[in-house]
Amino acid sequence: MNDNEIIELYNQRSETAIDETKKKYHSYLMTIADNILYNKEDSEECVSDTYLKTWNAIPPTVPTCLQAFLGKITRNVALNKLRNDTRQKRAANKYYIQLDELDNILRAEYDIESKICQKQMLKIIDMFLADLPIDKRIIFVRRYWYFDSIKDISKRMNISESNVKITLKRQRDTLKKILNKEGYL
Amino acid sequence: MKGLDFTTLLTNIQDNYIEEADKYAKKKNTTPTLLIKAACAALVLGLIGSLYVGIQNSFKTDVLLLTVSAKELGMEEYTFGVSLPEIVYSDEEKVIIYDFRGIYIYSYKSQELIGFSDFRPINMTLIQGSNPTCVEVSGDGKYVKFYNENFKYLYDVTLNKTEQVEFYADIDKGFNSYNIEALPFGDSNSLTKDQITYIGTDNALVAVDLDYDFNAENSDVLRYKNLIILKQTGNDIIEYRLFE
Repeated sequence: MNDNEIIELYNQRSETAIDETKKKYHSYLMTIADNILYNKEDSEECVSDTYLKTWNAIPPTVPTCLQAFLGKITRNVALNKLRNDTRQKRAANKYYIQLDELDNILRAEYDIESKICQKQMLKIIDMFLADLPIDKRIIFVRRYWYFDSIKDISKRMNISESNVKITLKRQRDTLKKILNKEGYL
Repeated sequence: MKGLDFTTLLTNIQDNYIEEADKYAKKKNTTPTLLIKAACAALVLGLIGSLYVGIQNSFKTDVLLLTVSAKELGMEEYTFGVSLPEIVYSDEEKVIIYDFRGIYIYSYKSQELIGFSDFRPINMTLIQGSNPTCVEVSGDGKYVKFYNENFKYLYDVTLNKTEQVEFYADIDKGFNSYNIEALPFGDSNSLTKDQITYIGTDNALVAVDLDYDFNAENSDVLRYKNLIILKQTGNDIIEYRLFE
């Protein structure tokens, strides 16, 4: 079943919509959650929350890309769960390596809570991503959106782990320069 | 601003980037592409080589001569959970690998470790995280640069000599270093199940592996001497032991 058909099921308030979503995206969403939470049970719970939130959101929301829509919800739920659970914070070492990398980009105290600031920064990040060659962009997104390990990215992209690390380091440096230039650091 | 806030912000990047990163799968490299790349690499060898010599002569500061025997290295215990050393270069004569301990040069011809640049005395052992040591090899495999945000080093493979430099002209001028090609993970031609198989400049397949029986009751401690390099040229696969 294609995404438009699944969205139509949500619009009709048919519970089959969730079954079809599970069939198509369950493992994808579990990967996202597990890369952050590092715990199968919590990831299952997080993905279940995603289905509920999706059910409540559509309609009126009409996702332009169902996969990304679901992925974003899962990612947010997982990050919120992580933020509120110190036990998992200790356990999720893998995730915290990525976080440490990003933290190093943005050390300055800036009002990230401001909605205007968030929108402006997001625009800059989208422009930064748009300027990257596709393979480099995928490396960035796999690392900092999907939280893949260096090894997994290396396998996916058929390049050495060293190459992945170098690429990410240069990307972080470039992003840092851009944000500095725009007055965010 | 903290990383967690920034990563929350990243959630809302454009949908197409998220979808693209999930669906993208790099196609397997084809031989003609490799040949073209090899030819291009050959053309720039002299240029890059001479450039590195230029850098070396112009900006050298402290010279570090680091010599540790292969046997000494081989007797060190291998820590479970740490990634195996990674291949960054391989040609007819030698293979260059590195891990958190340093950079190793192994000669296929003399079947011995012919060089080692030790990361430990210079505190460059962090190869992951926010400020990792990055390792790049010149197109001719004669020089290896390794650096983090604070320090830059250049390792002369031929002289087995490491020195600190102030900057790399090739990075500043946008020159590319050599990037070893790899087979898609799980490719039927892969030499091992768990590790990436690379394609050297001589088109031979190479991979690192461990010669160790994890199930044997009386096994000795896992040591670096258990590390092997597999190299396939044509139908022949040869096993090289780096630290024996």
